[in-house]
Amino acid sequence: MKPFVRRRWILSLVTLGVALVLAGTWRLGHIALRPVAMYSGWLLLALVLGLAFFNARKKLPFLPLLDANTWLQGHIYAGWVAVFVYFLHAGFRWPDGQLESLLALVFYVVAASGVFGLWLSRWLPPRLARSGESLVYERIPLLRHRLLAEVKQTVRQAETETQSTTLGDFHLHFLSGYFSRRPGLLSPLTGEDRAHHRVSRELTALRRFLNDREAAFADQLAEFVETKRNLDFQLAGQRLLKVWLFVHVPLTFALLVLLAAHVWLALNFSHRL
Amino acid sequence: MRRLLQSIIHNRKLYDRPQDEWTCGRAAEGCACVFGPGAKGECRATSQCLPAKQGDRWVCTRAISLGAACAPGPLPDGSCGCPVPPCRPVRSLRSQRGRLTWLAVCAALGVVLLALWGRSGQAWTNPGPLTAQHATSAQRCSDCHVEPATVAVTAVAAAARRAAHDTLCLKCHDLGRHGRSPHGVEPADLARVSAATKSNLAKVPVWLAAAQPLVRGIAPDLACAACHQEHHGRDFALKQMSDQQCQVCHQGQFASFGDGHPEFTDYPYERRTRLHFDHTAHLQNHFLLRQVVARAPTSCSSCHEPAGDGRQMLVRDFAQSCAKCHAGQIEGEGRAGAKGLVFLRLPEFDTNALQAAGEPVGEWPAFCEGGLTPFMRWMLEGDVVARDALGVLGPANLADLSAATPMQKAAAARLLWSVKGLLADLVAQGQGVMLRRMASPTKTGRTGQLPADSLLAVQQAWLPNLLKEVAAYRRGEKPALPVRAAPATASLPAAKPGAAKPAADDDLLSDAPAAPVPAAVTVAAPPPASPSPALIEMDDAELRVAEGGWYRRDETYTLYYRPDGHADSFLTAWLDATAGDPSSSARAIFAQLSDPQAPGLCMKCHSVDTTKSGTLVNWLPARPEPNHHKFTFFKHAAHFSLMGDQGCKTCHALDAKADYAAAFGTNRDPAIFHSNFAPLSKDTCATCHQPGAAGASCQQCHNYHTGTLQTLRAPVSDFKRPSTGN
Repeated sequence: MKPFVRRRWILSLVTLGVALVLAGTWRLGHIALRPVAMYSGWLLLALVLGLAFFNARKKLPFLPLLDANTWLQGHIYAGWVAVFVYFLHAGFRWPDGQLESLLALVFYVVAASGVFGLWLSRWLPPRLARSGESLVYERIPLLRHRLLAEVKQTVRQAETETQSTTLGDFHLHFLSGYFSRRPGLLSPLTGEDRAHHRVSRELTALRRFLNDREAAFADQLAEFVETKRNLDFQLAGQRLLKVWLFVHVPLTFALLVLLAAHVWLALNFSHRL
Repeated sequence: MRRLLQSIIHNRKLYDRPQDEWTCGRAAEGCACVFGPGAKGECRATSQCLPAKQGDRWVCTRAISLGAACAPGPLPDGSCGCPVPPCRPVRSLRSQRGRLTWLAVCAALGVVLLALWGRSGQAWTNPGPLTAQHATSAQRCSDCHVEPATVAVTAVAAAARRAAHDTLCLKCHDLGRHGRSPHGVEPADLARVSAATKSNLAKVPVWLAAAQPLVRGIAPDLACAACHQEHHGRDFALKQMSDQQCQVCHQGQFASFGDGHPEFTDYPYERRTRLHFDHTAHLQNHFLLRQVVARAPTSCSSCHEPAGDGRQMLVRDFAQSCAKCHAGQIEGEGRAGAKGLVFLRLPEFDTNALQAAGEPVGEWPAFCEGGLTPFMRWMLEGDVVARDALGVLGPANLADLSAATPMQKAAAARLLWSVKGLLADLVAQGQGVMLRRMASPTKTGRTGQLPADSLLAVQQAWLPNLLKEVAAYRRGEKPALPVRAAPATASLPAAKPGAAKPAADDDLLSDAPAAPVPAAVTVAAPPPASPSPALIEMDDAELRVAEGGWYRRDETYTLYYRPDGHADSFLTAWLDATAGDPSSSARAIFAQLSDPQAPGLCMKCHSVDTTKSGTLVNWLPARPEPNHHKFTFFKHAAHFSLMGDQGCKTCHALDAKADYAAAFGTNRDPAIFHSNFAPLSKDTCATCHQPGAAGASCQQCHNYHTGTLQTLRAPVSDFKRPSTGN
């Protein structure tokens, strides 16, 4: 068994054990008429603060607080526990108040985005690695720009050398649009690649009308098309790996604000402190 | 071979700064300047490099990644020969996420501020709709929440805070004196029951056993909200509890109703019936008599019916259930003695002894019988002179004062004049005298609507000169020694010419009919047994008030009250008034009225309870008491369809050996009794009440809050007179 698989098993079992202990404690407290909502509330608050501190930990790399990987593992499994504690706290039902409904909605979205991000970070990177050259996300716009310039250069050279506008017309009708388009946000998930197939098909169909010299240029263009496919996949995939944090992180901080209000209201109005 | 987009040569790679807030606007074109944007996003580009001076020459320092030294080279003044046009820097992804984070935080903060202090803040902060009952009674948060509530850190502060909140609940919900105690039971009683209860550990579920240590010590300080959690919607079941929650405090725990629940001991017969009705005697003897069988009930429902809420089985009223056989008895049918109650009589005095002792007695019948009636004694005790005389007389026999001391004889004479005075006051002032003399706080029924004319007729018949004599006596004029007078008549005497007028200052007699003033004080002879001769023969006085009322017997100088049937207001009023009164006069009246043979036969069926809260005559059988919450309740109506051929006997089996009658008579403790029926068996209920069938939850049969509680204490505003503004 690979070390990381063993680690995953162990941590999953530990998390399950913690959840079972919490569920048992909650049930005992519920039977004993103890204020389990209050206890679970405090626990949930501590868990959410701990989870949110992961973001702060990344900004404070100088602090000797374990390594980022350990924090990430703690974040993942503590997150599962937090979701379970939330269900205990809310009594497995949707809250009735407006502020609490908003709080629940934000918590659900944060938790769901976290689960989505976790899955994405496990599912997408191997596919990105397999699809072709791995690229630095910040350089992709530059690479796109360069690729577009190279395609134009190649088409121009083909027209000059072959004295034919066949490849130029093809570029005008198909290639320019294909190379300038940006991939859809969720295309790595949907596997949407119709534009690439369409261009490849058209380019293959065009070969019947090309002479040998033009065919050599067509081969170069086919290579550019394949490069663009990988570039798009890298762009869309890496963008998706960053975009889910646009939901998870901002809403986490919104959640903290709403949590503070919820705690304040509970402390002020609860009959059972 | 797939072509690589990125250069892998170290000095050809661009230096990326993804952590920066801003990136160069020309980075996507591969023309990013080496300086990059400033911290606030301003473009700092001027040229591709800063030429360096080597000796007397300027050298290009452009980075290799940008193409190394440029062809034109630096200008003679040392400036770059490849100026860079300014760009519009763009935010990095990290920066965009940071801005979005701030936006989300501000939005959340805005929502919170509006929720806490906005105009519609209450709608936002309200954690959920209240149940229908509370939604209409609570208008503000402070109706149910302590505001401002301090955050309780210590256990003592938390307990105080819980108590403060509970006080708000108890403002509307009456839970009795020990409202915060479990089940509303006095702690000492609770401790006693707890000590006597043992758990059958083999039958205690694991969860329950594990949870029990958690409740030690908290039970006496259980907040209302521990069980009743609000703000979960209009139709939320506020009282819903699990069986384990119900049992967790209990010493005797068990798995379920069918498995471990204690066997019933006396349920549902928790006290003596309010009416003395022996089911065994009636069902097995009386109803079988030939003369009764036609009138006898044919089923339980002949006498019982379910209450409106279907819970209790009620006894139908007297007219429906008892009157067929017992109405005549109550009215005096077949009664040997008088059908009326002796209310007032002229007691027998040893007038000879009094005369011999020189005590003037004035007019007094020579053939009276009996002593003071209990009613007279109570009224006389309202007179200081009479009370003193009775005290002096003690056990002396008024009819034979031969052995009495002179002091007792004098007291007997004073008592005689007090009796006369009482009678005179009754004649002159009517029912008001009864109420005043008896210090009666309420008048309802106490006077029996005693007619003034009856009193006047009594006086005219028995002591025609009473008013004059009493008036003179009260003026201090000593009556002369008695001489035998002519017999009085029962008819109202007409005013005779020449009769002496009452004294001008004697208001008491101003309205009295004129009567002849005797030359001397007389001892009246007995009046004729019948009224004056009449053309039409008159029925007996007792028969003339067959529907109830007052009548007199002149031969015994007695005034009677005949009850008007069941629930006679005079008898019930006096039984109620005297049942719990410890005074000797009241006890005498109660003894007279409660005698099993007394007119009305009230106490033959109606029992008297003496409890901590006082003494009460049970005029009615058990009735629904909406404010009385028993620990166990049962809905009869829901079970009617389940009864088999046995009918009510399915659950209520007669116990023929029970000494039912022993609990009545002199016993006033309703807890001492023998029911006519055997206690119910738990197995009878458990046949259906299983978790998978009719259900077996604790709350199906048990209340938590027990005792006599007002469901809701309605706040009643005072009616205040408007201010005059003066």
